[in-house]
Amino acid sequence: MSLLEVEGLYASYGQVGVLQGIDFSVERGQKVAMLGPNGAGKTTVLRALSGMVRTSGRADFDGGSLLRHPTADIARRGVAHVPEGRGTFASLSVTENLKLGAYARRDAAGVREDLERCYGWFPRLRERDRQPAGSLSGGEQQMLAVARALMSRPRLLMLDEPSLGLAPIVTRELFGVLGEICAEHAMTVLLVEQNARLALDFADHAYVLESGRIALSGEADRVKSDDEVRRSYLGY
Amino acid sequence: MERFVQVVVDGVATGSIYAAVALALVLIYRSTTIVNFAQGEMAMFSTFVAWGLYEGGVPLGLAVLTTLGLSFFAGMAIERGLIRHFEGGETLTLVIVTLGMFILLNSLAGWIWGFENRGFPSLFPDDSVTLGGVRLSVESLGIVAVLLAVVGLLTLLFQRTKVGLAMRAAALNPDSSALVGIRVGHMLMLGWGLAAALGALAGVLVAPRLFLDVNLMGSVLIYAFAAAALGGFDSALGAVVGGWIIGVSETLAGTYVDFIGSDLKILVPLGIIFVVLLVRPSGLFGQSEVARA
Repeated sequence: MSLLEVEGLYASYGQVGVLQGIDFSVERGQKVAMLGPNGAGKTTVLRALSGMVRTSGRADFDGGSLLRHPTADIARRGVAHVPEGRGTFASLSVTENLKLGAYARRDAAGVREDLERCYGWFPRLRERDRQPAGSLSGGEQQMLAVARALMSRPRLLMLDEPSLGLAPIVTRELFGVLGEICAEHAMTVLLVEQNARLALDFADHAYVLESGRIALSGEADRVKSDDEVRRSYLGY
Repeated sequence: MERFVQVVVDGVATGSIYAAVALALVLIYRSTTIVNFAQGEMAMFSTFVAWGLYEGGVPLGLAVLTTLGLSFFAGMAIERGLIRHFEGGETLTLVIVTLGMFILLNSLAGWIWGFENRGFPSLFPDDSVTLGGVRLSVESLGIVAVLLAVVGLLTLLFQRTKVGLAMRAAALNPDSSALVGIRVGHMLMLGWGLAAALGALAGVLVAPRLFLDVNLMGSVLIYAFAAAALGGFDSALGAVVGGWIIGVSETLAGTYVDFIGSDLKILVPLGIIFVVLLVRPSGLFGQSEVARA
């Protein structure tokens, strides 16, 4: 059975429906990309799974339902969501941000170990461990946001537009480290990205959202090599 | 010289009481950006509870500790039962809600305990000690010591414990806090509980110096607001320093400047605040967000 199985997911902000009944699934250890133009509802998919918008439909995560639970409880069940715009705690130090990532964990020794591991993956964070997160550069803050999510030892890592606002070289660095971490830990990832080329290189499987519906899905390699799809949906 | 030291210590003691209420205001303001106008009346109500317990035969120390505990839970209940429904709403709505609570608690206390003045026993012996040749009242020193202990405990809580870190996180960014598994509502409840207990502590410290009646905290609340504004409404350190500056300056001015006396002494700290806020609108220790575009 898939780790995450979504069926007929609707989501709305007030009266405005954003997701019009979408189906998709994420297997254990799989990296899935959710692509599509601005306003297609990509971010809303993640917000719906994290309980941050009104939803209906079904989303089964490891045998239990995700929907209609408080956000904090969903996080405690192993869904780590790196929100668009990173959501770091600006006036708290880098280390405090990382410790907060492990807030729901009870194994202090494991948390210390993971803190070291995160600093190993992102040495720039270690250099700035006492600085307030708000003083970091955009790329460093994104690394911090990802590292904070990893500190929870998530069963599903959800990333919302990690490349947003970053220089191409920083983005490449970030995805390089992400790829290593995923390979090393067989991490399950749901990635929302507007940069389709980047996302398709990273992911195993891709869905393309259009106006709140899944327009197509397939293995990342196949989507990438289909010129027709690329031109009409991904615009490159 | 001896007189001067006595006046300063007395001012610091009075200022410590303002600081305790200012800390309570800051605790709530930082976590919910609510200015709790009912903070003083909550403290007055708690003080009456302590008085009631004491009159009922409970030893004073135990009565005070029990009251602090009860106030903590009552503060949490107020957040959960009343404030929660308005959080994130219009500022003006929240002002009205806390003002409404102010009036409600004031009337309720009058209805239960009446409107006459009552004496409230001091936690400290009516005695003095001689330090470096200066006679100082045990009560003043005790009040300062209690405040310092409270500040120490709060610092430990917020800087050294996981729940303290989570409370700071929830205040800074509720959405991100929920995403790391923090139950933000619980943190806000805790903040209100702590604030209510702090207020109660200020109430039982100030009551012996005034009389206990339903207007016990009226002027204290105003001084506490002034202390919080002076120190910066989002700074705990600022609340303490602000409280002390106000306490000392009003006592000094009231003692040494003839025409000021006890009626006009409030003008002195307010003058200081006016100047500080002109130069630094966020207060002495208030922070403008650390952020990089």
